[in-house]
Amino acid sequence: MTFSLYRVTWTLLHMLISALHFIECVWISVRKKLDLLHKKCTEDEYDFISRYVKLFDKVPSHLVVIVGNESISYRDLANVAVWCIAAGISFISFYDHHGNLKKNETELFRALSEVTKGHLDNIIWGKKTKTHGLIKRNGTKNGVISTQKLHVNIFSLSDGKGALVQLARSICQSAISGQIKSADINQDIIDTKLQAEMDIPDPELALICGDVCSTYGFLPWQIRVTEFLQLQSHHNIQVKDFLLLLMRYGKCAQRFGK
Amino acid sequence: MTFHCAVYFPKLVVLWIISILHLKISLPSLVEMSWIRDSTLSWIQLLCVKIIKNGRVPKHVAFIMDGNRRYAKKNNVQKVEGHSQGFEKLAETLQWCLDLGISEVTVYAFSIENFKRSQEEVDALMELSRQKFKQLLCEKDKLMEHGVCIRIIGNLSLLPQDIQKLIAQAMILTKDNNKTFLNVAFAYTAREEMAQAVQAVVSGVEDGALRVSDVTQKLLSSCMYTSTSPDPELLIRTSGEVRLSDYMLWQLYLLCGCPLARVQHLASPGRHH
Repeated sequence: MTFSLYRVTWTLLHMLISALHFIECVWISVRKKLDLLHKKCTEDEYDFISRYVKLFDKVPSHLVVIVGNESISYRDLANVAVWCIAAGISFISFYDHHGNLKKNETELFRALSEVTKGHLDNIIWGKKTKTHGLIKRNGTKNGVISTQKLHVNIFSLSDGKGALVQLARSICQSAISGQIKSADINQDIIDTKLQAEMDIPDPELALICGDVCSTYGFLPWQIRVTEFLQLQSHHNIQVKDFLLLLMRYGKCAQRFGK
Repeated sequence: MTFHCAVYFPKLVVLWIISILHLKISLPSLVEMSWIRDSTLSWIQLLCVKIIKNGRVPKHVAFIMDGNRRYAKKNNVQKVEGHSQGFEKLAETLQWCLDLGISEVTVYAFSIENFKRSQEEVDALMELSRQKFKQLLCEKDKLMEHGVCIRIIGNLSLLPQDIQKLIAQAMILTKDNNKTFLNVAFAYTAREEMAQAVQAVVSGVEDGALRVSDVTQKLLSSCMYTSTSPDPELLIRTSGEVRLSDYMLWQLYLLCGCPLARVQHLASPGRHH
């Protein structure tokens, strides 16, 4: 076994960085627990968020939470959804590449019911959920029409590249039956068809949970100009964390190639 | 603990790459505007490189060389000078990649969306690229010596004819080289790439060469402009922006400076993560 000095230096540096990262993680979780202990419920979270977001230059119309490799905390995801309503965000998507969130959609439904105290009138279950179409809404609450709606969708790995493959196959079928020619296929046609299937605008902001900066295969077609921000963890996420992320989003300038 | 080690091997590489990039001061006027240059690392940087090479180094790195116009504005120079100096930095970056043992690099040079810029700027960018490709052809010996294979990816039919010719010459010249791969995304957007892949597949079915059941992720991947390259393991965007801007959306499972080598396994369904 040959010991190179460089190899030894590399290993030591790696251990040092891992140790520093471990300490950082411990410190963050301790701080979070302290924050929770000192949490003062002085103001209604909904009003607080509604007032605060008015200060931002822009608010995304579609927010995505990419759960990554974290275990799913349904309660916290439900909190984020409710905060989105307060912030005026119309679409929220949850992405779990393992597919567990999709399987356990009823858990999310239950968590949302708890957090909204049964008032689910503002929630519209999108095409990418099992609950879609199962709930009848009359759009009113105490005679007042609720204006702020939140469309909820749940995605997994198969909705990304898989959806494009399915689309390609269906276009192939159309080509065989003479409904379309391959020469007619362009970006706009694909975009239109995917939009019809998903019924969501392109995500403007994606929150990646965990340490790893990765899209985990989320909807490759739709993330063309999505801003990706890292969120340490969605577990015990607080209102201020949510607002800080929205503030960061509000500051970024998009040039769209021009 | 093992899983965390796998995560942080590449993170350490990234931190070191970024610190080396920051250590270099841009003085392009003294250096000839060459694609391939001799190593310009100081002894301390060489030391860092020797240390880093003991860990896992990504095989394929993607770059978005962003911020040329902002750099020009900040330094009170013309935009075209900003782009020119941006190219300089690109060439230096390629050398660092070679030094680090990164065998494949893909760079986002010009997006289809950039055609929306003023005619003056687009013409200036085309003229700059014309010069660069001509220079590339002049450096034929160096390219062959270093075994560099140049590939230009994008919808090349959108470019002026003479540039298309230069590009074709560069690609044909270096097509058999296999030591290092330099891919330049020119007149490229990921959506256009994915759309043309779908079009190619549909055309194949139309002609009877393929059945509908042959249409799979693997088939679509093989129709992408990047079909001959492995997926990038790391993306570095120089301006600090945190979006992909229609760049390699099909191929990238990783983001700005923080890679996870394991995540590329997610690209293939059925592989255990």
